[in-house]
Amino acid sequence: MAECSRRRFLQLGAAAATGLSVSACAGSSLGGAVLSGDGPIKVGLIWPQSGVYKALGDDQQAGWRLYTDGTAGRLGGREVQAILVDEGETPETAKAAAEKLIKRDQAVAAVGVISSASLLAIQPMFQAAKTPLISTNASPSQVQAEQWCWRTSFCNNHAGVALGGYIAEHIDGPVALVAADYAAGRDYLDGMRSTFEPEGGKVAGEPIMVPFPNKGSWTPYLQQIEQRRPKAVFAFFAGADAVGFVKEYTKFGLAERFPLYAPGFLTEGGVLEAQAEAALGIRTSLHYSAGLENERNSTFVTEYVERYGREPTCYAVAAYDAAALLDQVIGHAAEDVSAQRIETEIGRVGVIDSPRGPWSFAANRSPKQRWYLREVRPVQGKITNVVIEELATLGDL
Amino acid sequence: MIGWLDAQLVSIVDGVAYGLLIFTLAAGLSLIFGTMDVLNLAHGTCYLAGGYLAFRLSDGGWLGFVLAIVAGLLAGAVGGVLLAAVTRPVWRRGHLDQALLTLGIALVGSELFLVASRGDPLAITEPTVLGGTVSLAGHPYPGYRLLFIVVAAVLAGSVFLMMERSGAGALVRAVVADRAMVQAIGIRTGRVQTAVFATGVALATLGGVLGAPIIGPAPGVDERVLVLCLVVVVVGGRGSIGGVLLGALVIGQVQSLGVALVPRFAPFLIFGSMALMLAIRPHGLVRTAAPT
Repeated sequence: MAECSRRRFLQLGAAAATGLSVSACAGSSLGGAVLSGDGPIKVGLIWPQSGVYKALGDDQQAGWRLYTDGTAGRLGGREVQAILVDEGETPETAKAAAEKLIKRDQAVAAVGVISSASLLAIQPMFQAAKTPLISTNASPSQVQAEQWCWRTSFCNNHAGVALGGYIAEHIDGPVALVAADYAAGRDYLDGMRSTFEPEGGKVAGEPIMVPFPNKGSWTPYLQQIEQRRPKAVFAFFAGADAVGFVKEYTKFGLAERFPLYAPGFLTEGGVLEAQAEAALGIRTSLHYSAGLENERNSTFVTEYVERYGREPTCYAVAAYDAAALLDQVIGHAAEDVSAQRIETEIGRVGVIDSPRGPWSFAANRSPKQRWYLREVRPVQGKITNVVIEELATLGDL
Repeated sequence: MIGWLDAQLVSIVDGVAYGLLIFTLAAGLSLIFGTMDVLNLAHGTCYLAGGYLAFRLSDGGWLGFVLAIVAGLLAGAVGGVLLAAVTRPVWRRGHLDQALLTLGIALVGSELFLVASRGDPLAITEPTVLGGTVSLAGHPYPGYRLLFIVVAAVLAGSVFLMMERSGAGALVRAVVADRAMVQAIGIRTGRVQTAVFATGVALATLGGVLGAPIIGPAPGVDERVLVLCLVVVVVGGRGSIGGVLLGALVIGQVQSLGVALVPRFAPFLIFGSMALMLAIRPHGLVRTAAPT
């Protein structure tokens, strides 16, 4: 009996672990009716409605809706039917969502995806279907200047490129590097070193790579940082890892000793709320901040806060801009709105007037845009990212 | 040696904190599996519920903290009785049915949490008095975690004494060993089982409240702690509280000291140690006299 139930226990345990991780994929897909002929223009939206990236997906939906509600659901003067599908958590769920948009809905364009893994999985599908895909976040460095693929977000390594020179200039001594151990983490570290080392910056030992996502303790990694005796730390983490790292970094007394620099995702949106005081003083680079001072942004922030009760993030802006982009493009295409025509017209689009400031596409089909240095500070009792200065304008890699 | 100990002190102490935290969960899981032969896959969800209560009630003061603990214990006890009632129809229907039922409850729980948290990790406020950083032989260390180690050690000790030395513990162990015989001498084993379910779940929610500043409530945490619990029970041996405690402390060190010593193998250490244990001591660290 003991022997038998022990084996059962192992089997059930294994089943439980698999079951829980699979469950996250089984999100819902909202179906849209199949309309034909002169009906509304069908645009697919692929954002996570389940799993660990749900919060980012929600922000993107919020940004998209804010724009399209402002135009009464019309883009470029034409009625648009937005078909929302669930990106889920894995490349498989994203593929299923893309398959539905291409085959069943025959959308003329698709907007979305948070995860780089999703983009790598679905980009070839849209290329084969000759349908434009506008990425609102995911930006793996492997996908550059591919036909039928555009980005309203950023290039993965730019946050590091923008910050590297600044750190080299302001920190006198070695800087420890720590990052989540996956493609994006390495992209950011490479980007940072590409401007940090030529400016005379010294790296303290080998980069510390943390398993992604980190399901264990943070202490061993914090100790490795200490043992390198750096003058400052450059870190890339996002989502739940960003919260775990920042809180432990402060609790273990590292924040007082080594100033922390990072790509902006470390303190963007919901994670900053969870980090609270622990994040104070962290300096990050990003192409957006809710506190950015321009007229377009102040209108945008006011409307966004009024409607959703929270400050907009760079994620919301990227989706908002995707809607603005399609608004222009469909307007130019006028009567002949086809996938091919949208692809051509995106290539001809000039400047997008965005809350982040005006931007246009660089040759690699990503925004050429300004990057800002931000610091986490309390402003009127609220902890927020305050823009300190402009770092650089970056376009092609 | 002294130098090495000094360099690794923080990792070792932190490993103890993690170990004791996992123990509060794994003890309940093991108790429920032992007495009722029900594997409660919603155990991680109970931890998450405790963490959520800490988020709602703990406001940086002692009152909120104590309130969260009391609410956690109450919610756990009530939740345990409910879980016992819900799973009662499948107690005799084999493990697969139970697994499906409790897994279903776990899935509903994690979706509810996702809605409540908007998908972000929740900000936990520990009592301000303990929120600071203290010096541990010259190394900065979170003050709350030291207190947690003391409280969790007392908790682990009480659970151990209750199970191994008290009349109630003897009764529970008797039900594990031979349910029919205990029934035959006129004891309602169903009540004992429900009480065990309530205690086990209350331990998990209490762990969730106390552990919130260490493994905070966030989407996916339910799965993470459930898997850790299962590993602990496998490593420690299913039969006894002592085994679970030992297993939890070992896994705590593997996760902390192990990762500090061989960071390159960090992702494999937990399951590697479980596989190793299955290969060399398939009954776990502590082997109990096998109940028939």
